[in-house]
Amino acid sequence: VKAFPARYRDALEDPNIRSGLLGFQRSWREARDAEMLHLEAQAGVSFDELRNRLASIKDQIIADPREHLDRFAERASAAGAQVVEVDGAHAANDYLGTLCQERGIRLVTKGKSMLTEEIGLNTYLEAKGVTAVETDLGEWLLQLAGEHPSHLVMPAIHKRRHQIASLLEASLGRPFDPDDITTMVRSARTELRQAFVTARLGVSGANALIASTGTVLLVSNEGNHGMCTSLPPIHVVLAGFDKLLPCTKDAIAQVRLLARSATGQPITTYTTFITGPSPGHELHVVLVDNGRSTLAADPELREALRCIRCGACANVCPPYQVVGGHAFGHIYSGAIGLVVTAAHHGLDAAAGPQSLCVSCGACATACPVAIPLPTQILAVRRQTVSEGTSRAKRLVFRAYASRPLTATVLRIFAVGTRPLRHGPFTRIPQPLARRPALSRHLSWRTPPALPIRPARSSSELTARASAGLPLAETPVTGRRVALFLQCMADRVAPSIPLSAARLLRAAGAEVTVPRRQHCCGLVAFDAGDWDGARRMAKATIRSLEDAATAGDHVVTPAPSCVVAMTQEYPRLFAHDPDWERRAGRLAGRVYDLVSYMAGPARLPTGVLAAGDRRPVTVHRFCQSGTMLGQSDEMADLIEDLCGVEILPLPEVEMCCGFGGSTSLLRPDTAKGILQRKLDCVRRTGASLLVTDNPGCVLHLRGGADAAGEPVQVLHLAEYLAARIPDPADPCRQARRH
Amino acid sequence: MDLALYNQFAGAGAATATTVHRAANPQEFCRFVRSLSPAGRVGVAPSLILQQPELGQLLRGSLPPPEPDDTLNDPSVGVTLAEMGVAETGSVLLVEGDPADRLVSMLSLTLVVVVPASRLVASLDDVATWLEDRLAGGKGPPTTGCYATLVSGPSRSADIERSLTIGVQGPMALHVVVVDDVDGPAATGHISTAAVKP
Repeated sequence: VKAFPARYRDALEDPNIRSGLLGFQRSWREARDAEMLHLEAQAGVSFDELRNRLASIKDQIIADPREHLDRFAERASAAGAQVVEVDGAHAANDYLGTLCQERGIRLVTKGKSMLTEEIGLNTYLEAKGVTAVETDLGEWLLQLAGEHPSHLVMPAIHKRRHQIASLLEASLGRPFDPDDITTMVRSARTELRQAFVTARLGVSGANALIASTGTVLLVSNEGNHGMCTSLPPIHVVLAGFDKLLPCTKDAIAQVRLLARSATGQPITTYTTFITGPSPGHELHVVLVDNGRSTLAADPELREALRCIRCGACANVCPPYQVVGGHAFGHIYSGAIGLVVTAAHHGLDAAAGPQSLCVSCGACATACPVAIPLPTQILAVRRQTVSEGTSRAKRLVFRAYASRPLTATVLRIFAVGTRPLRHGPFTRIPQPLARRPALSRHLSWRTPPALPIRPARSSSELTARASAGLPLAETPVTGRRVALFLQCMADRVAPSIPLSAARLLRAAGAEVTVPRRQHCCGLVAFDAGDWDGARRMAKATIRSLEDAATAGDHVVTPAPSCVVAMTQEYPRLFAHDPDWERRAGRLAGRVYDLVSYMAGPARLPTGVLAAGDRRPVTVHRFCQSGTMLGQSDEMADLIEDLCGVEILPLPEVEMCCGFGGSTSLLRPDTAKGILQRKLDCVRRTGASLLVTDNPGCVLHLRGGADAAGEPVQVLHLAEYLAARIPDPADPCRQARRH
Repeated sequence: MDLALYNQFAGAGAATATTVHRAANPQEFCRFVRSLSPAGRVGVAPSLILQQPELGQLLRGSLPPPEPDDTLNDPSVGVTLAEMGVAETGSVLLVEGDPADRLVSMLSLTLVVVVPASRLVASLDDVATWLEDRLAGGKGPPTTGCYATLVSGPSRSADIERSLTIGVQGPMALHVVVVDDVDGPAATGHISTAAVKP
């Protein structure tokens, strides 16, 4: 495996990856969702219930693998199999190497096995003079190409048909028509047959090991594993204890979720239960640990061992679509790859791909064994950061944690870029903007204009007089509401918090702005700098305790801050009861603006009907869905209050690519995700896009401008507040009387 | 035969590109196999001949005799017997302790699977129960290994651009024929192909 920077560069330079994976992710989503609905109807319970059941079965194994391992070994041995346990990759490879040597075997066939990729079996055998032939079509193609799988289930998904046609032509010496996929697929049948009948040993992994019966479960669509396990007289299974399941019923529960999650099929074509060897044959089961016990002992990461290798976490992952699994992962790709790589291949191997995750949380929604992937990715990221790989980053966060320093630096930038301000944007002059260091960041996303004065200095927030009249009586009328501005909106997009204040006042609330508020700490947290995050979190909690009395609601136009306060603070302060309590009190009274306006501060239907009648499309901040559980609240609110038409946004759940620090550290990835989002926006035909998080607003606004998309991007607060009727307007006077 | 179960089985089978048929009796089944007009070798799984001697005799009488193993030259038609048919997924459970059975089911270009009507079951859980009863101890260790495969459609791959291609390493067509019990009343005079449900 090449080093991460080289893999990342290769991925960005290959347009086939992006285009191929976009089609793949879209068609997978459709097939998977339809099949999962079907399963829910058939089972009479929800996907969540089904996956939680399987997760708890797997947790029993992870908590006590020994009991189930012994049971499996006892049953499998009774059926005639030889079961051995080995510790590391070398011991596993050596078992096979020795077996081949003892029996004089020079050729082995292999069914698809990620574990043999993990331990580097093929390379090892090659050095011993044994040829290992991959027989899964995708793996076989990659073996011809000298590559390793970029996806757990679809190993060659990063290659397009014309690349495969050239590969086959180069390897087999005859031309292939790229559009005749059937002929390309069937060439494997002919080419592999000789290997199947000559090889005297077949290697496979296992999809499950059934303890009660000593059975090895294997699934495939092609049927190649059947030949690997039947034609040669010796079959060797390599698997980890994480594949154990207590009984066959549990294996069926996994089968039902696996194929649906992997390929959107109700079941794979071949689902094989192998118990003991066939007459005259040998069956060896090699149980490989290679870091699994370490994972099982780690309270933050142990659930990763639930993984059934379906690849769903990659299939919903926005950065994976842009760069593919060679960059987004090491040997194991997708979100699970970001978690388990450190355990199998070390922290160094894990560090690079870590930086590509946008923390959108999509992986956790699709995982059929409910692995808390986003949490685990951040836990691994914290380990890679604490290993000292990123001192510079920590210095930046330390500086950002200081409110006065941030204010001064941004003010200097604001004054300096004043001549370049054009409306909401800063337009860098061409010769400068074309310099590679700048153009990597600016060519695809026009930077916002930096205001000289942040929202907090606006007289609108400081002077009671300009409060504006309430539009209607609501449950929050007369209530004191502390506005949490969000640090970036405050200083870069002040109209967002100002509009939020206007809306809250329209709902009758008395808005206060705690003076000492700054950053909630999310940026440091996402970057894996927990010490920095803790400092910022404490300052935030203090600032909101100072300003508001216990009963006040805290409302922010940034749902990302709400995610931090309600979901990340408890983890930051897990070992600090005092701060955990204070964080808990804050979590109990903080709201994102959408929830607040849709809930307690709900205005009457049609009250904002006057104004812009253009149809609107709505992008929901990814974590509003995945972490805060929202679905159509924003669209419903716009429809109800304003009565304008909503044009549904395809792939609404997908991240826009801002991803906190990702868009600064990995601009090419962020740009790729943004382009997908803008393409969806274009398909709606809307000229107005409303969204709920300041980060998304700036990212989408700048991106639309740079791409020349004729779409205006507004925060929900800006969109709604602009429709509040002017008190001096006679029409409004008339309505009020 | 339980018609509701059969219809569910046939519908689920169709979704996996399996063609599901009904035959009233073994004679009809043999006529069906012959109607596939095999151009080359016909393979019959040894276990079918062992477990359903009557059917085996009939097949032998109506088809060219099975040839010795020739794993480089695929049989054009293979015939094998299922332990059960699963309505939930339209799968058939093949229990193939003898590797020679597997050569038939894995290598034939067209595979025909017989399912006795009484062996249709509702769900994959029935398969789990069957396997557990047979293998989970209490009744002593199995004396021979057990190699059981749920087959759900012909061999397929989507490894190139996720484009679905039928027939990769195994059969390119899968016919499953549910045969009414030999002793039961003949339900129909002709073999019928199940209506494919959308």
